[in-house]
Amino acid sequence: MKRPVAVVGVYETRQAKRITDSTAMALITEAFRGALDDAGLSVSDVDGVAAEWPGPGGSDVLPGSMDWAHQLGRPLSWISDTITAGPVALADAVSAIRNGQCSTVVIAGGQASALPQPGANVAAYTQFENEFIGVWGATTPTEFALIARRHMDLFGTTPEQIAHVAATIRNNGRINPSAVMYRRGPYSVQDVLDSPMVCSPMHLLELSLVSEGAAAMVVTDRLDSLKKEPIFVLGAGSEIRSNSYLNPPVYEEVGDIGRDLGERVFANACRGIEDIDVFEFYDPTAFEVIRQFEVLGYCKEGEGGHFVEGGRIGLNGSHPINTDGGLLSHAHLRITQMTQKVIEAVQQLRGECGPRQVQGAANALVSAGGPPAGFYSLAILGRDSS
Amino acid sequence: MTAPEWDFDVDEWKQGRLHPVPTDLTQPYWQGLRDDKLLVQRCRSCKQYIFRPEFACTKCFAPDPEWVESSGAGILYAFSIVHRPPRPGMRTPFVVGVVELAEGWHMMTNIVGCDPDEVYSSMPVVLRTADVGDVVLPLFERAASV
Repeated sequence: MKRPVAVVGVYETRQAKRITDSTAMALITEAFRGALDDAGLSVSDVDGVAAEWPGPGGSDVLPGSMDWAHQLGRPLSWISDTITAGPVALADAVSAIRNGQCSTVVIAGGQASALPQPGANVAAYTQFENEFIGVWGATTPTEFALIARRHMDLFGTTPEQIAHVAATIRNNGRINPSAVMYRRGPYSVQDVLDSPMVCSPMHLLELSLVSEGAAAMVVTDRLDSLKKEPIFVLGAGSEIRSNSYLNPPVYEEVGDIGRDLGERVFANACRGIEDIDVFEFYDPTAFEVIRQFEVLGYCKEGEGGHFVEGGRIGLNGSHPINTDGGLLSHAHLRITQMTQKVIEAVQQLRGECGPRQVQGAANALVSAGGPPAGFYSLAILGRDSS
Repeated sequence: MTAPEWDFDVDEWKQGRLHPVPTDLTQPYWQGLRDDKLLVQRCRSCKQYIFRPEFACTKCFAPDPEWVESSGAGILYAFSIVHRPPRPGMRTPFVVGVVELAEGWHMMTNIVGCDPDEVYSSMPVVLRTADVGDVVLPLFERAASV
């Protein structure tokens, strides 16, 4: 019987397209404190950290998480810098806790005063490697666009189907006070298709934000005297094919990333795909939602465009997606947006989401990564640990 | 006749683009392009083509892949027309393409020499090298009709 491990505290700072009156560390430490407070815990309870150290200072050679030990003023028995966010960090933390290396882990990250002003060229972190990818002017959105293009060519997935996903997600962001794009919209499929083409076939409104802010969550096996209902990590893991964004994206080679992982994580979680009530899918493009419904087995390969049509993926539908507004309209903090999707899943399962609450949500799925990213990660969370 | 604005402009490239930095591993590829050849690694054991260059076969892990010459001909497997310049000075629209070479492997490139709106999936393409000073780049253009 696996020891239950739960997310017991979550916190997000203000999120905005640009935050220029603060620093990454000021926001990350705010999120760190806030998540502990949400859990009813304090720094003295923390013995594990997976968090960025954006500087100033810190080590160039060793994991950034190490610098947190000095900052927190207490010895840590576990750190991880594989990817200090989202389902990856969650899986790492759960493993460490079950292994007895630590008991209470904080996962935190964010950015501020780091992006060029809106209207300037794209964020530096979307341009990778310069020999075989960057030299061609390819960015991360372009790489995701190439996967969408091939899927459209092979299966007839339509621009309208992709735009419908984008409109659904953005209309969720519209009613989320935490979202960068709060109050923007509402959006129709035509609004999305009328937005400028950025890198075909992806229109502007089908692509992720870049934004600033911070977020943190607390994971622990200490379930006594908690402030809020613990949300259990039922299963989590990753599938890795390559380092990110360095290879020409070929759908036949990497388009199925996540298929094997999904089977493994659902089995570990003792859940079937029909048990998931709410989906926080990684959405660097709206097309990626279509791909993930296929790869996780909700429909056959090539049928995802049809699967997402109509109200199925809306808040009142049978498969509600990206209830916080996703990467399209909630936030994108270089990597910590992966943690923010876990936070939204936790808040859905706690019943804290107000107008965007999925009624009766008991199990949630969170994903990160995608074909050009070279990795894909999943976490399944639930109100019941068994 | 090719409209000049769809062709490759070396001066524009120099101001806008990320410049490739060859490594010891990739040096044969870049030297091959200087000789107007597209070289690619192939496993000595299982004959799998390997791109991007690696230290061992990515299919069977055999050591020391050999460098062989590609035909430089293939089809446009997928493309994306980029309308928003990622870096200041880059002229748009331009076409990012993934080419499937006749030998069965894939590489990324820019498709030049035609209006981006004329590009289509499975379009036959052929290598066209461009000397930009520090390196010679492997661009691709629409293959002439037979």
